[in-house]
Amino acid sequence: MSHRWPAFIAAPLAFSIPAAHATVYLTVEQAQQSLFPGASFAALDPGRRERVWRVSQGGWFIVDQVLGKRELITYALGIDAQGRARGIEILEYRESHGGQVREAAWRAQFAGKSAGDPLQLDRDIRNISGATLSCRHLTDGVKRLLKLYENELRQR
Amino acid sequence: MSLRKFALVAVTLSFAVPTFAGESPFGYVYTTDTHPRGEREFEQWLTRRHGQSRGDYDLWQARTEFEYGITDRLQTALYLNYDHVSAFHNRADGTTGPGAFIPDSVDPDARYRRTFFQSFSNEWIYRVLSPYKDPIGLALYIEPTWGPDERELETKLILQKNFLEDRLVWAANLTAAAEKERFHGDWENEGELEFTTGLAYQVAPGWHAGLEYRHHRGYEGRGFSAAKRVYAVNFIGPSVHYASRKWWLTATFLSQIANAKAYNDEAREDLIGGRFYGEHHERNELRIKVGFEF
Repeated sequence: MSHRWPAFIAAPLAFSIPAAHATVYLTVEQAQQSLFPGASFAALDPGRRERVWRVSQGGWFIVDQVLGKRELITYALGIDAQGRARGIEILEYRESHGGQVREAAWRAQFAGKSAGDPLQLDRDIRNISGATLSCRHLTDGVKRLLKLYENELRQR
Repeated sequence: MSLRKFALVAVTLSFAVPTFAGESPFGYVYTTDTHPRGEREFEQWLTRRHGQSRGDYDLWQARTEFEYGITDRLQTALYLNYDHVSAFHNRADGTTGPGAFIPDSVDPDARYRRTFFQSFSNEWIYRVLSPYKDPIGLALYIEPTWGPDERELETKLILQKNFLEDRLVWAANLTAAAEKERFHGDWENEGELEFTTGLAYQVAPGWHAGLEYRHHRGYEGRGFSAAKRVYAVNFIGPSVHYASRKWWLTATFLSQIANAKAYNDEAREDLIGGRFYGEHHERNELRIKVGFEF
């Protein structure tokens, strides 16, 4: 009887192994031009976790990753010369839920926020049902990058 | 129906329907996640319960399930539960059966095989607190089950707490069940209390590895007083979970710890080498769950 066991599970596994595919919505260059049209960008500190660019018009462009429920989400934050969020862009999103984080209305909630703002899910950032983890981690991620500006980039 | 045909039915059901999520990184422990309103998921469970005190014993339990999010906090599910049992000289005295799913009339010197419909279940889960927004996740669960030889009402309290930026998931369930089971032709009242808990860590995007523990107590008659205790059994084992965008798979292997307790003479007959083999308990359990969105 036990000899039949491997065949019993083999079928589900065989059907279940289609490779996960990356969903890239924007390249870094496209996100840069979306947030700072016409600007040029100078990369900073290639060794750090976040990828940071100084923007020719003044301000900063940062690419970072946060964890969704299952996969990493790659996003970009534009910060203007006064330290306020100019906007965010979603570069890669592979989760089964919460594709609405790419919609302009959801992303627009971050515009104008600065390091002093609370940036809390369900208060100033709207949650998306079924994608709470993605929304919270993106919100926390933006907050962390604004703090990075406040504590480090601002002095540069 | 042979095991091969049984497997074919279960596997065909698994892939006849396009599916998806609300999944737990655990095979046995529920987490507090519920589906958003209007979302549907299909799940196929297979549990192999293997090994009694001697001889051969295999119980394959399959559950085919449809889940639906009624609101963002409330979900329901319908389960079809069906089994295949194969036993040969599995009892402590070296005979085949009888026992759970094996009738009294079984030939004690022959292999017994049977594939059968067990029951329908209707699960309801209401999420009170979210582990992603509140200090701890909390959900309430109720599931009535109806079958030709079984009536059961199961309730659960589900807790979940995430750590390390949600990479580490802890969950625990306290379950109480009241059931009527037709055993040897007579309906008997029974009760069960269960505590399950697990820890799972996201080792890579999409992958969780974890450990689960299950403590299961059985009671005769109605109620859960100490005088009605029949047995107490513990299981522990690893789990692995993979989730992609459209499907997920969880596998958990639980092994019975040799510290079971039996509280009456009848139960003590099934306590061998510190493990309890009565009332649907085996030495090892392997559960595989596959889920798909649609």
